Amino acid sequence: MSGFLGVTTYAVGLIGLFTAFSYYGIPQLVPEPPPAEEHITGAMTTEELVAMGSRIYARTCVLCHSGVGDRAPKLDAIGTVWRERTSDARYRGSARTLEDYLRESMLEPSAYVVSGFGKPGTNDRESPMPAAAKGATALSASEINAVIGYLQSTAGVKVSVTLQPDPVGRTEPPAPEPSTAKAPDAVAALRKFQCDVCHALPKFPVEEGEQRPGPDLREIWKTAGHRADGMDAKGFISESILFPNKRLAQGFEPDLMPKDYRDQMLVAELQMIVEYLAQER
Amino acid sequence: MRVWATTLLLVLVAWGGGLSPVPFSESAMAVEAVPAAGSELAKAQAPKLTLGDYPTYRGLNSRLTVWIAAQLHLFFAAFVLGVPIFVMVIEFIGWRRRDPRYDRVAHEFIKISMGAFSLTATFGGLLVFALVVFYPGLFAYLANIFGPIMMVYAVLFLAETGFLYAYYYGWDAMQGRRKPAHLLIGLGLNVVGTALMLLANSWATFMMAPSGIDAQGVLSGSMWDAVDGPLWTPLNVHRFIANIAYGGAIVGAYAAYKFIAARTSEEKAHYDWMGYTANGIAVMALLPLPFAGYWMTKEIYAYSQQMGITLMGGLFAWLFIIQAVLIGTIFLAANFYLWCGMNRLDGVNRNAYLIKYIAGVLVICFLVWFTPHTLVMTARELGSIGGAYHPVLGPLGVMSAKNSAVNIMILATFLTYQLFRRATLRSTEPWMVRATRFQVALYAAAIANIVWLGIYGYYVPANVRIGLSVPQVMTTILAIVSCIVVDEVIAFRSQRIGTIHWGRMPVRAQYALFTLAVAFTWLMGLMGYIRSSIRQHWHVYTVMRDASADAFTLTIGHASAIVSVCTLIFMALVLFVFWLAGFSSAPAVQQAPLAARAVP
Repeated sequence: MSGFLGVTTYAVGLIGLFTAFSYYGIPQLVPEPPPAEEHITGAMTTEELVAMGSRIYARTCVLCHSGVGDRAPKLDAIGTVWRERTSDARYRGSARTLEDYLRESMLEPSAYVVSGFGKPGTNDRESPMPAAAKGATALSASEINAVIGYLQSTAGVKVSVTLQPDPVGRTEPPAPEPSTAKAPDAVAALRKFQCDVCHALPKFPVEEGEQRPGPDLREIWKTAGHRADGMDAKGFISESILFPNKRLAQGFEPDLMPKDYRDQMLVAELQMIVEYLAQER
Repeated sequence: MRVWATTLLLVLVAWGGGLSPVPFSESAMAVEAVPAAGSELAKAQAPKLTLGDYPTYRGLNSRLTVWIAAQLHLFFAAFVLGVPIFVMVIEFIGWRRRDPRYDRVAHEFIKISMGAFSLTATFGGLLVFALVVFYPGLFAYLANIFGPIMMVYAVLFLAETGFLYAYYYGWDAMQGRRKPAHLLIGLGLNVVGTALMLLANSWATFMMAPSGIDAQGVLSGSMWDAVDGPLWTPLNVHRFIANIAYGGAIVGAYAAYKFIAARTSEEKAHYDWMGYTANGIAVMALLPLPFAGYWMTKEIYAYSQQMGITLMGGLFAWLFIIQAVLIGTIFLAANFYLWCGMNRLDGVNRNAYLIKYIAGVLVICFLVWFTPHTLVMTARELGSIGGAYHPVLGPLGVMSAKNSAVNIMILATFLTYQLFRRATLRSTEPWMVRATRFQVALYAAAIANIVWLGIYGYYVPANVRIGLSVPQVMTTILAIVSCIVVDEVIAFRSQRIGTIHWGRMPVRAQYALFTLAVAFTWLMGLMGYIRSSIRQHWHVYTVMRDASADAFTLTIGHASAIVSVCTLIFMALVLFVFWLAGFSSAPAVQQAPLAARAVP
């Protein structure tokens, strides 16, 4: 009997240890809820379309097309390199404009495969990227347009896509809300991601003469719109959060700011933070 | 393996329902069960479900109910499919060597799986009922695709039951000249059991990486196309090996349990030898398992880079840190058991001094494997470390370092086993000394090659780096196989010194066997969760979306708590099975001098 009790106690203790490690030894990240389909209405402005494209891009594309460029090509210079690619002998598509090229790349990723990013063994003739309109990604034509608009705006090119309102009744059931994930407002979101630890933020207490590791963002709304050509304040702030190494503030080292906010932040949280920081005071 | 599995299943499927896409949707069940089915076309398509298509019952959480039923079914199924494989091998060895000890231990192994067999069926039934009640749309769609195969499965299950009963109850009656016939029954049991596993695997892999259907989920090819998906063969291989390892770990726990309860030295000797054999089976099957896992992961990436990155680069990456802890625990427990086994030898083992070095190597490799790649840190932590990766430990988090570590761990574990085996042999001729030196050189060369390939991996692109795991694995396998061959030649020609005193083992070593069983079970639960969860909000990836309220990924702590609940229930039931096994008339432990026998 003592043997039975001994092994039972031991087994329960061991299972408890594994559980405790999983709870307390590993960060308890809250995964994003399943993506809800974005809907385009006729009343949408181009800016709103681009913002929507930014959200779709952040949840769908950034996993591979990150700022690092190891899983898929970086897209920061797409505004210029597309011409070289479409005139390359390996190009098998028919695009004549950036908009067409971007759409083609999303719908038929193998039309042109950037060197070194093809499927192994295909000599860069086949892309590992899934077609954006099919499979797990399954973006609608309007969503693809929104992403193109966003990429054009980040490339500093005029947004050429036109609004195509979704047909009435084309709706997916709304995704369930995350139970604990979303911060209720911008201040809560900034606290949730501990932005105030490194940055001085508007309306957050800062002691006189206190130096923080990151740039002072209390007046970022004044300068953000002029920091990058063709990019407005919101776009710049959004990019700085998602790709912190892309444009560094003078006097600050790369890799200090976490690069995984794009994986952790909900789209709504990012929006709230961007709105809050870009707001004129 | 693939050819064999293909041939086997072609025969079975052709027998059960033909290879043509049979419109199972014509059946009443499918028509009534698919809520969205309104036309002939919709019957064959993957239905677009809404929240209202998921029934609820008395507040039971649908996902948890199905999860726990499926997990317990898989635990027991892995056990009852794995055990007969090595039971048949042990029985065969005993028959050829005319050694009744093998026959007795094989009989006792299969006796344990008898009790577990009915529990496997019980949880299988529970799983089907839970799916039909809580996920009728999904079940109807899968039945649409796999209906005839499900019927084959049912028939095969009956055959499995018949084979198992004939194998177990015919054991004593089919001794002597009837032994070959009994072994044939064992072979039939394993063929049918493996076929069952292959069929069930096809449903799981279809949900992960559907094939043979069009974008709407309509079966466009033959049913075989739906079965033979891109992940089917890797999963088959992985589960086949894992089942053997798992079966070994569970019967090892049985032996440990009986050893602790044993009252006579004969009983202790018997169960000690049984535990040693079970541990050997578990460890030997464990050694190739990481490689089967790599292959599976590689195929996941090849099927969908998106899915692969979700698996290894996002939230799920943290689960692999838990996996590292569990596998580290398994390696350390298995090695600890073998080190304790040195006590069985007469006098001082001349190789015992190496144990501390092996332990050191294992711990270092474990720490490398345990090092995370992508750390999620607060900004303050980030500032104090000086970047997203630790300046010193960061490089240890990438696959190059981890692959090297696991290969060296495997070599170290094999060395422990080898030291015990060689302890009773004396090299009497000069060539034996040279052969031993050759083995030492082989170890050194293998480790050097593994480490060099690991370092080289830092300087090549990711896709080349992943490919380097193949030569690393081949190096490990080559070293192990070469050492086994040399050992066999030496054992054949050398003198034996001293004896092995079976039963001379501390009780703490038996707890190491229990550690193995618990860690294996928890690990299986965790990896099953990962495999299933990378589908994210899809029932059938890219084809049939999960519209239920539970279509979100759990936090790591929440998921691990469910895995723990499954493990607790399973271990409680396993102890119940052990207890039941004690009731049946166990073959009397003979007074045979086990101590005088050689290491198997």
